[in-house]
Amino acid sequence: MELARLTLGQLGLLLAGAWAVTLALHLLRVRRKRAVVASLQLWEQALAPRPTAQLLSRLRQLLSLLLSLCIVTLLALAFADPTRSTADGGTSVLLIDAGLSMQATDVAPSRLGLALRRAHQLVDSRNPADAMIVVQMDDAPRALCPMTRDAAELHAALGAVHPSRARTRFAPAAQLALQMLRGTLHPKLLLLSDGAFSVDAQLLQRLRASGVVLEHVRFGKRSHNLRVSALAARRYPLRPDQTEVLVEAENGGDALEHPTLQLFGDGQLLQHDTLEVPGHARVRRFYENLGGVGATLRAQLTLDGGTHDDLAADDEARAELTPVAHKHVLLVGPGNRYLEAALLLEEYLDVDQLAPAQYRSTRGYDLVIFDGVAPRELPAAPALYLAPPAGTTQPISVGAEVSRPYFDQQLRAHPLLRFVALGDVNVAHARRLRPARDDVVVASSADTPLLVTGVREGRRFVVLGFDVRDSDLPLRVAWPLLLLNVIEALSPSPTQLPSSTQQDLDARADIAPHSLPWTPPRVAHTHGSAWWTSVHESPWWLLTGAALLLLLVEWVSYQRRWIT
Amino acid sequence: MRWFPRTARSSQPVAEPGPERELFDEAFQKRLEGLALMSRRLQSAGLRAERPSKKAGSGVEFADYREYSAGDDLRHVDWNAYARSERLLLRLHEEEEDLCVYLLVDSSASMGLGSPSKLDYAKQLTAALAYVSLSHLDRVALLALADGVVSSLPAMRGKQRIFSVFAFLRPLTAQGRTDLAAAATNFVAAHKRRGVVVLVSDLYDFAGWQTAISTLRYAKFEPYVLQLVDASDEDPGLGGDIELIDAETGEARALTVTPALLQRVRAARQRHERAVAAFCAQKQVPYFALDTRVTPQDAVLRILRRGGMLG
Repeated sequence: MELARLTLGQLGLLLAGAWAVTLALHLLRVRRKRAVVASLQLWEQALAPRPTAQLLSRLRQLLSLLLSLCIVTLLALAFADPTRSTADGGTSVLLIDAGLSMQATDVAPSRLGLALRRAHQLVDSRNPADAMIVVQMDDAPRALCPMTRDAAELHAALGAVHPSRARTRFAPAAQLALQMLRGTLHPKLLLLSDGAFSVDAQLLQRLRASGVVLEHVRFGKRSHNLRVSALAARRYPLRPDQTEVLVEAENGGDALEHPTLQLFGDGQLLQHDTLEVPGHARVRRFYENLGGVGATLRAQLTLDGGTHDDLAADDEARAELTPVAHKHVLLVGPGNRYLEAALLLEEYLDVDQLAPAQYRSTRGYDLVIFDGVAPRELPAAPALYLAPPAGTTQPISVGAEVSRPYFDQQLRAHPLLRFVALGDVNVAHARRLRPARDDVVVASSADTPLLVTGVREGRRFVVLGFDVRDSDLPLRVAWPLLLLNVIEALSPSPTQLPSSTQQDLDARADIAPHSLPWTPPRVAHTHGSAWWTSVHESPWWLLTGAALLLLLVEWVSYQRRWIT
Repeated sequence: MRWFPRTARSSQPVAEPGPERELFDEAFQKRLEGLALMSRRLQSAGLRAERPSKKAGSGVEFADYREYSAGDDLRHVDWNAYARSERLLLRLHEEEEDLCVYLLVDSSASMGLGSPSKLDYAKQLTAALAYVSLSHLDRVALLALADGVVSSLPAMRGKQRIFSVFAFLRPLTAQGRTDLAAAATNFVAAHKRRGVVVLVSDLYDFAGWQTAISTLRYAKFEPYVLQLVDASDEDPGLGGDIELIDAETGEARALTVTPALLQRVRAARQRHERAVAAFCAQKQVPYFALDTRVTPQDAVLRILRRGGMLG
């Protein structure tokens, strides 16, 4: 038997002090109530000295003193926290759950804080002959020290435990512990956790079959927790400054909650909403055309008065949105104000303009626009050809001029014509285009193609058969839309811009503590007593209970006048 | 102090109107008037009164015969008896005399305990007995005792003197130690005329009560002993560790009151009561133990009457 909290000398001092105080209190005269009687002589007769009565009286006083001394002795021993010890040490794995749910503050300072405090006590109160290893458990187990009997090393390892935002997975940690304990003497797994994870019954069975004694010290009291269970955001392809956001909130408690949801874009509040989330349910919200998101998006749940639930760590989620890619456009031509003005409408276009004579290559550009000119060779980038001169052969042949063509044939479902109406556009004259077999004539006037798209040498191209200045197209809304459609077709933006972070869908908002379905194995006490230092093994509570029982006996005996 | 509760208005007041009128319940008063303090011995005559004496005198009630001796009044010779028996017999008649009644009230500190206090109870009892005696033209004297005779009211006659009785009793307070032997000695020395002595006390003078009764007897008084018993004598109403204070001596005693101790105290008090009763029976002294839980009316009309003290 060893004392976990006091040395023998300290215990002796404590006992001496307690006995001295008890004796002093016992010797103090009791201030008695006074009562006047007609004749004390009558009472003296009743109190006539009887040897047995005097003996009983002295015995009673002695018994009272002995009882008091017993009680203070038991309490002092309980305070000293005696533990059993044997020379034959065992092996323990101290598994500390550092997962997200252990950050809950339903117990002070937190579940993890309490578990670490308990772990330090376990290290101090263990049998010095026991070897122990500290393992942090979250989504993956990590041993924080080697198997050791050095208390300082174990304390240092406990100091290295840090909270994790990952959810706890017990199976890998248990398997690691099983490996560590295999072949050791008196293997024991000390699990300090809230038990808020799924447990594989077969794994527990394997532990039991291996003779491992699992002792679970549970932390936590309740499940008052809301979390952002999902956050997704994506930009619109054609409007990358606008974002569509999905937020999902989950209530892990039993009561209906009305949390406030706030969305922040680059730290600026974008959205403020109040949700109604029933117990153990999830609620989703979509927010469309959300502007000003920028590079980061943060969703924050708060309760009434700006307070948080027991687990604040999962009350917010963040999404990093990829920045909108700027398209580098090379405009080759003598100058076209209508074209240049239309290109200015799109803020994500970086346009460089060159005179035809200055054109060398398209390196570094996402697409090139040839306005009234045609390169001698096909450019290395996708290209838009506006009114290519007659005699052009690449990418398609351009023929003679045609007067007053009309857009009487259009592929309205074609992406180039999305939101574009060309039916009443007036064109003075155009050049006859001769597309190849695989090219697509998007719009034409009778047998004269006016808008053709296709692929040459793996590069897309679009050809418009007339100069927009020879038509009323620049005066219409269709013109910039058509131009943007062409640019998107030639240099498409990423079709998915999720740029979002989703929470772990397997995680749970329910952080209610659970006990493991563990049936302790029958331990063979080969040395006559249990070997391990158990958190329940310390008999302090037995000593305290005995003291309380003595107090109860004394009280009942006094009330019932067992001793008169 | 209110002596008896008033239940009806009297058409014939006892005496002159005054605050004392309220001290007597009229129904109780009428019943008291029908009672008389019984004396087993005819006392020496004083004034003529309603009470017969053994002394042959001028009364009309025949008492006995005795042989004629020289010098006897020939008017009392029963000549008819002489004609039948030829013997001179003298007719003896009872002389109606007044009786001297001494009411001795213990006013020591121990009498102040109880609810009502034993002294208050004794006052009511004494007032009732005084009224009974005054109604029969007896001579009534009152004395308050403690460690001697504290105060006294000289002997008097007539119902109208009941107010003097009240005036004497009213200011009595419970104080002083009990010394019945000394008080009896003082009383005997100061009162030469014999008569009935009613001692009203709790008799918590363990050393002197026997001496007191014997002193009265030896001095040819006819003592009656009324011992007042109160529940507080044997149970102070507190349990556990307490300090008991003697009401008379002020002596303190620390002890633990338990049911067993209370039982022993009760047994001691009963032993004391039995000892007094046995002594009185041996000495042919009428003895009554009166519990203060019994009303004074009941004590007078039922217990004392049934016990032969009042007739």
